[in-house]
Amino acid sequence: MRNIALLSNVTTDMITAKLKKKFQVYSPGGFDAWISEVMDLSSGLYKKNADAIFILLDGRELWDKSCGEVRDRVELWKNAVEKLGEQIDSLLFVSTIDFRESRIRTYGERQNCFEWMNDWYLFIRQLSEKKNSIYILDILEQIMDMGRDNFYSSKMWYMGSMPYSKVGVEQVSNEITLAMETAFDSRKKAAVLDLDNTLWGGVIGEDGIDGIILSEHNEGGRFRDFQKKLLEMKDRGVVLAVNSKNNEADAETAFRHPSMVLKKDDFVNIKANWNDKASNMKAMEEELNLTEGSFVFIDDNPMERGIVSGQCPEVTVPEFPKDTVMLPEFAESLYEKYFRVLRLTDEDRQKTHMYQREAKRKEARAKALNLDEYIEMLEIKADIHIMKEEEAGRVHQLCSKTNQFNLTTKRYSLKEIKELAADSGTDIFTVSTADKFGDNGLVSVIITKKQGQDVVIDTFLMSCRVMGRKLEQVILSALTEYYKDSSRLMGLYEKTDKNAPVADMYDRLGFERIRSFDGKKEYCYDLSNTCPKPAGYARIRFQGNVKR
Amino acid sequence: MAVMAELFEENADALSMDMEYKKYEKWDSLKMMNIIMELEDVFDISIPIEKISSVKTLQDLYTVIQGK
Repeated sequence: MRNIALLSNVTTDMITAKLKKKFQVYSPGGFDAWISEVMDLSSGLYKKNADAIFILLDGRELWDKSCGEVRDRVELWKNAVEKLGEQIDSLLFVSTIDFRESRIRTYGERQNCFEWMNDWYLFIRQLSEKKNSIYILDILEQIMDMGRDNFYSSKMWYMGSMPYSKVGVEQVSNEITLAMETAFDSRKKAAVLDLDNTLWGGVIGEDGIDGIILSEHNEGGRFRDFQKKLLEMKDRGVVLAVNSKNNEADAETAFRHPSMVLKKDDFVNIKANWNDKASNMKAMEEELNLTEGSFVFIDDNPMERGIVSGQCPEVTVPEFPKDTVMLPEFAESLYEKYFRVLRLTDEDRQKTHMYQREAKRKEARAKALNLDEYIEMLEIKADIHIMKEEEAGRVHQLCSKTNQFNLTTKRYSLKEIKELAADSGTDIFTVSTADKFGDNGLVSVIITKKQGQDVVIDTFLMSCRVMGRKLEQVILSALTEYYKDSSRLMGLYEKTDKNAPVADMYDRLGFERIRSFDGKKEYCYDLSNTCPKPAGYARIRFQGNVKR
Repeated sequence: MAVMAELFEENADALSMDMEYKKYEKWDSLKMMNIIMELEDVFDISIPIEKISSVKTLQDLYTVIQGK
């Protein structure tokens, strides 16, 4: 269970009670107790070393206060937040604040609450731009969406300094839970969409391009706005696919509709056919080289949803909104729940292109006679070097998300990766490849640790998009050369539900199995031998540490 | 009632009508807030704070709710 700290100027017991079902929660109490916790470097807050700290500041205590009083309190809060930001490197989420002014004011009297809200927002924005472990927890947005009447309870406030109603408690707990999922849980990778009555109203095969409901404004606008949201998701690393019962020709026609926001080119896989949708999903899994659990399937038809969730139980199949005016909001909630990440890497932005190029490679693979010929045809260039500082984000992403080609599945935090990189007894290697069809980017991470005369391979993982090209042999060849002064290279395989594809990798690479126990296998490679490079690679570049 | 038992995290037979607010260890001010919040939600009622302040025993609480 992950552990979090919840700091707040209000009573948070009911929120904590909800969060304790999913996390270990440290919450030092309301009003100014959190400020003492932050200022005292020996406090429980610093000892707990939580995975994430949440500062939930509620503006209720400042409602109806004078400008001067507000300014003084906010100054105090800003100092404390800044101090905490300096002291810790773990994730810190700071809430936006709802300021409200007394309504006893003449119509023409100046309102300050907007300036306070903005001032606080800019303050945390500026902190989060300086330090990338600091984020904004937008509670104010929740309050605006639901309305103060629903979010707050005067009764709870006057009974015990808890500003929230039952609804407010649930919303805040939910926001915190979602933030934790965004930060720590593995995210879905692909949204698979039906066409008729999902991307547009009506049925393209029957209504024709002029008959489907899709337009800039009015009723057809809801589908257009839904598509716009999906496009926004695609720009943030989500890949889109189509799973529809339609003739391919009809689907193509639809893409020419003047209000169609999504084009054929925005999808990485299109299945417009009369096969059952579960078979289509399974074919997509193979073609895209993604596990079943990476998909979210969106279809207006409950029967189709039932078929897919029945036969592909790991695919997430959300309920479809009964009222399609909710489609754009539905897209937003799908993104927040399943796909959202803390930050984007350049690789994320290029996801769709990468999958499309991979499809071309697969076509080439089908034409080649054997694996070596395929490798040669690809004209692969591999670049292996010691991790650079700017690569840490992508390395962390790979460590968190890679399941299939992952020998030991160690989930390091960004902080831990930076520490390992700085440690002289550990080496982190990154491998980047490019081929005739395009750049694959950073695709493999190897972490080694010195253990006496031996070198232990702590982590060996590879992005599934470059599996099946003997890249592991290229890597091993480089490692055996680099570590030739040590006596043995030690490899470990730890079985998980998903890494069966690499169960025998070390055996195939010529390691000797020393022992097996509990789903784990330990291997060694005698470094008096070097492992040969596979034939067919256009270029292999290797750079180890300048000083070892 | 079953709802009460769940809120106090006790078996229904461990509760008695003359349990006193602030004397029974599990019934502190925070628990009172929690109980009011849940009761208002479950029974879709609003209990005025004056009535809440007058509650001294579990029996009093029942009386207030039944009055709604």
